[in-house]
Parts: sequence; structure tokens; C-alpha cells
Amino acid sequence: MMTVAQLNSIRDRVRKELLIREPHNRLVVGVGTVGIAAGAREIMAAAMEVVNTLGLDMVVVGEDLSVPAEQMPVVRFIGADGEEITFTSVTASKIREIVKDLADKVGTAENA
Amino acid sequence: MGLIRSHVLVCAGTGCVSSGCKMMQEAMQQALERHGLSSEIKVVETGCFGFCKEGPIVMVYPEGTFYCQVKPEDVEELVSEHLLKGRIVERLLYKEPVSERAISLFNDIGFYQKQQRVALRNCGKINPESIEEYIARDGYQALAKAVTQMTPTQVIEMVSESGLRGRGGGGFPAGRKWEFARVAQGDIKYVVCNADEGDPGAFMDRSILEGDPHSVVEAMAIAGYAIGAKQGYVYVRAEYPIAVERLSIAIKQARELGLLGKNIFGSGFDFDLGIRLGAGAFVCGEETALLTSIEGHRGTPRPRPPYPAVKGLWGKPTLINNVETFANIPVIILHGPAKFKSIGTDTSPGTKVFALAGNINNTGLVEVPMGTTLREIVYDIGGGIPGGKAFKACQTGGPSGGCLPAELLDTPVDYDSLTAAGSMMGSGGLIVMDEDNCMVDVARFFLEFTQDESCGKCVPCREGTKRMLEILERITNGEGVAGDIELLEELAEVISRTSLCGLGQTAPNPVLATLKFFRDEYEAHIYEKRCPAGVCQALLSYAIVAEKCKGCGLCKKVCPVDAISGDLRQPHTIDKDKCIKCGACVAKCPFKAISR
Ligand SMILES: Cc1cc2nc3c(=O)[nH]c(=O)nc-3n(C[C@H](O)[C@H](O)[C@H](O)COP(=O)(O)O)c2cc1C
Repeated sequence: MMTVAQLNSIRDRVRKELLIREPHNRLVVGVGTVGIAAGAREIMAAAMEVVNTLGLDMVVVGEDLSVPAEQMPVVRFIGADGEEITFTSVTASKIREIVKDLADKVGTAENA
Repeated sequence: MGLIRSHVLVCAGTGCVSSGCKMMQEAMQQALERHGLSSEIKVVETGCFGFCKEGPIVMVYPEGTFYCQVKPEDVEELVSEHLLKGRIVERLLYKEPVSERAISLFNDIGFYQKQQRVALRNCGKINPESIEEYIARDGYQALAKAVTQMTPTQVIEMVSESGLRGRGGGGFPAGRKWEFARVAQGDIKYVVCNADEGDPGAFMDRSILEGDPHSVVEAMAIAGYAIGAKQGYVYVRAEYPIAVERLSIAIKQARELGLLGKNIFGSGFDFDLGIRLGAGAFVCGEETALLTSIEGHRGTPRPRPPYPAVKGLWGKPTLINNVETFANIPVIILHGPAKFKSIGTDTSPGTKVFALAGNINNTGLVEVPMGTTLREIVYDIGGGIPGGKAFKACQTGGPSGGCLPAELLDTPVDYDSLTAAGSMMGSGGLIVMDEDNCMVDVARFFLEFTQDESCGKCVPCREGTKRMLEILERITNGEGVAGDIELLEELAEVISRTSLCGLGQTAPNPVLATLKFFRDEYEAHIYEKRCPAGVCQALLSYAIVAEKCKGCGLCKKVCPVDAISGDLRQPHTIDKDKCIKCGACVAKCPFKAISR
């Protein structure tokens, strides 16, 4: 027999996975050819890891952002309310800090 | 990477399966592996997005990019460009027919803008074979609420209050039917879902079962609780193998989690479901014939009353509702009747799903609030008539329905307005016809269908539809005589009044409706031996208009029976004895010089 509490716990767990299909906050990593050469894939992996560990209501998206090559790798935060913040010359360690700093702003997936 | 960052949803409804989505999906999986992306990108099969004409459809999240007609050979580019480098592949986006503008988000496409998805809320959004994804979108919450917080009467009051009417064609208030079944005396009761979907061209119910089977499972359990039934059956035609498979999976998963079976949510309520396959006879969609078929007999109707709610399956009180009716139930229970009633019109609340077909640019499945006009459906959602042709009529209600002409395009689509206009809602088939359709021939087509599907149990339907069909065949063959129209009307009246079931009672409708709005076409066939739309072959006589003919010879080349002769740059002629009236010359002539 399933209880209502068990039903709710499945709902909450899977709802987090499905946030990808209805995202609120997005962290866009510039993954064009130049971005990838500058290490964008590693940055993406690091960002996803922190988002996952902190359980944030934020999805990580790859997009070919057009910025001057010397600013690569680039990451852009786009909030649910449309707010945009761009970070340039990002490194894997910097992105961990950036995501942690955004945590308050985006909240957790639990409360999404 | 190990963590999933993107979901690629591939439509696996019947429409996209037949346009090759499986091969494309395999190619996608291989390409993801080649690029080392298979651990971070998940490919998910979903139900129908509705835009079947543009299939196979692929939706990439989190971007929400909507790709159309994706073939296996497109997949490499999609993976290496979009999924790896984040560049949208323009050429695979939907292009607006007029402006040629490429659109990447599906909500921006005209086809979707006026739609509102209630019954189809999860179709194309979730993996129909995953009960967890259904649960994540509040699935089974309505059942939990009903059995743990509400009495059966409260559940029925909510359904009544919502004003939900049966989506299977009749439009009977669902709450009233549930109440009849609840108060009916009987130790054993049943809940039955009508998924026979016999209207030619209709596929609303199939799409719900394929795209969101749990919504029907959940609703039937709620219905069981409300009327006091422990067992339900879904009667679905065997020609819907994907729907049957997904529904079987859904039932199995629900049983495994205890959402079907004994003591659901600890409430003491037991409920289980079975599937019964039909062989696809139209009459088996009629409720009493359907129940007879489930009992293992040949599917023929029986007189009502007694209605199934009183004496149904194996003589026990039985609630029977259509798939789409059920699909609305969890939403009503969970969000309340007021929210449901805020959509649609006063007498027809909610939405209706239509299968859009015929001479229209965007064929597919659409769900609109009741009260949306035919014009909005045909032009804003359907994208209008292809080839610059003129709109002639809109057929609703399938073989039991009628055709509405251009003057009535502003009719709101709801039960009462369509009936008042001279057609009916039916189960949701909507066929658009352009100027090249002969309305007598359309009536003949539908009557041929009902005559063929008549079960033969009662005389008016068995003999009457046959006689009507003979008359229509005579008229379209150029052998109509004075008095035929009146005879059709007289037969129609008797057949509707005296047939045993809805099949016969409504069979004359296509004839009556076309007579109402297109009587002049019948008269042209009978008295002038002329088919104004140029469809009825026996009435056509092909001839070349000498003044228009430039003698290019194209018609001569294309004629399969060498019936056309003439010298180059001289007007040609058609030998009427040889002509087989195939129309190939008309299609080929660049100068519109051939009359018929
Ligand atoms: C000839 C005929 C065919 C029918 N076919 C269907 C059908 O395929 N699906 C359906 O739901 N109802 C069909 N109906 C209507 C059913 O008899 C019945 O009214 C319906 O299943 C009730 O469900 P609802 O109140 O939810 O609409 C048909 C009726 C007739 C007379």
C-alpha cells in the first residue's frame, strides 16, 4: 500500500528532475567552438555539480554566446524574473563560487 | 559528467511512429554516444504533441526548442550543433507558412497559441511509460484527495458542479450520470471507459491513452470510489496497439505502487482495472453494444431504458464515460470546479480536443476552450486552406454530424451552438472542406460508412440506410429523378425516429445537414445533371475551350488513354468516347483551357 506521504515524496523527487522541462532560473554557459576550447565543458560540469549538491532551482544550459574571444569562457545567469548577469573569463573554481553566490537568489528546487 | 543537463523529448505517438520516429531516435542515441554526451543528455519518449503533420517532432529542454520533421540523417547535426555547442539548428525549426519565419519555441507557433491543454495536459510533456513522471505532475493526487478526504457524494457534487459534459458525443452531464450510478441498487457495480473511438479520422482518445494513460487510470479509480465499484474495464479497439501497450504498462505500474488494488491509500477502498479489446466496429462505440461486446457476445445494441447506470455490464449498474471525459476528472477534483468552469462557456465548460483534418494547412490534434469559433480553429490554429482555395464547409460530429457552410464560420464550438447551427459536436472529428468538395458526394461517403457499419439488428437502420445510400448513389451517378430529395427527407425522418440506437438515429444527419445548406447542389445533380464541384465523374464532360487553348500539347502527353488530339499551336480536342474522366489533363493545363 502507498501512503499519501510516499506519493508526495516521489512527486517532490521527480519534480526536481523535471525542472529541466520547465526551468525557472538558468545558468547559460557559452559552449560555442571557442568556448569549448577555453574550457567551457569543464565549467559546465562544475556548475552542474554545485547546482546538484545545493539542490538549486536552476538549470545549466549550453548556448553559443557571442562575446569577444578574450572574455571566454563566459557564463550568463538569467533569472526567472528576466534579470541577467554575465560573468567573463570564468574558471572551474570561479564558477563554484558564482553558483554558491546565486543560491540565495534562486532558492532550492524543493521549494520551486 | 554523470548529471543530466538536457532532456530530448521524442514524440512516440502513432502519427510520429508512422513518420519514422523510432529510427530517428535510435540514430540520436548513437550520435549522443559518439559525442560522449549520453551520460548528460536523456532521450525521453513522449505522447502526441498534436502537430502530426510536422512529425517526427523533437523537443529539446531546457531550451524548449521545437524541431519538426526530424529524420535520421538530421540527427548528427542536431547533436553536434545544438546539444554540444548550443546552436539551434534553424533549418529544422517550424517555419510559418506565410512569413517563412523560423520559430523555435512551440508556444510561439500559431498552431499552439490559441490552444489550452487540460485533457492533453501531459501529452508531449511526460514519458507515458513512467508513473513517476505522472506523479511528478500531481498525478494520483486527485485520487488521494478523493479517497482520504472526501465522501463519494462530495466527489460527485464536485463533478456536477464543474458542469463537465460527456466528451464521447452526447454531451450528457457527467455528474448526473455518476449520481445515477451511485444511487442504483446493486452489490456489484462497474466503471467502463469507452475508448472505441469509431469516428473516421478521429484520434483524440488514442492520443490521450498513448500520451497520458495514467490520467484515465486515476479518473476511473475516482469514479469507482464515487459510485461504489471495485472493478473497471477500458474497452479499446485492437487497432490501437500503442495505446493498448501504454495502458497495460500504466495499469501494471499503478498496481505495483498500490494505486490500484486493495485498500488504496489506506482508505479501505479497493479498485482494479482490466482492458478489453474491440475489433473496431463503429456500433461497438454505442454504450449498450459496447457492454454486450465486453460480455463476450456480438456487439449489438439493446433498447434503453434501462440505461447502463441502472442495468449495465452483466446486468449490474455501470458507469460508462469516454476517455476524454475521464481525462478531465483529476483536474476537476484537484483544482476545484470553479477553475474548470472558468474555461469555456456557461453551458459547455472546459475544453474540447479536435482532430483537425481535410483541406487544411495544419492537420493534427488541437485542444481549445469551448466557445472558440470555427473560424479561429480553421484559420488561426489550422493555418487556413492550402493552395489558395476557398473554404466551403466544416464537418463536425463524424458520421452522426453535419456540415456547416462559410456563413456559419463564426459559430462558437460548444454543444448547444453547434446543434443550433444544424450540426453537432460529436466526439471531436473536424474535417475542413474546400471548394473542390461535392457535398452530395460527402453525404454519400458518410452514409456508405454508416450503412456498412449498421449492425443489422433493427429494420429502419439496416434497410433504411441502404435505401438512402442507393438514392444518393443514383444522384451522384447522374440518375437522380424528381422526388429523390423528398424521398430522402422522408426516409431520414423515419429512420431517425424509429432506429434502435444512436447509429441509426443519427445516420441521416449528414444528408439532412447538406440538404439544409447545400440543397442547390443536390438540385444541380438531379435536374441539370451537373456536379458543381466537379467531383461526380458520371456528371463530368471534359472539353477543351478552343479560345483558351494554346496548343502546347501537355494535355495530350499526360492523357493515359490517348483521348486528346490536335496539332502543335492549334486548339486540341477531346474524344468523349475514349475519355475516362480521370482529370489528369485539367491538372496539367497551364491555361485553364479544359472545362468539365
Ligand atoms: C453509433 C455510436 C457510436 C459511438 N461511438 C462512441 C465512441 O467511439 N466513443 C465514445 O466515447 N462514445 C461513443 N458513443 C457514445 C456512447 O454511446 C456513450 O454515450 C458515451 O460513451 C458516454 O460517455 P460520455 O458521457 O463520457 O460521453 C457512440 C454512440 C453511438 C450511437
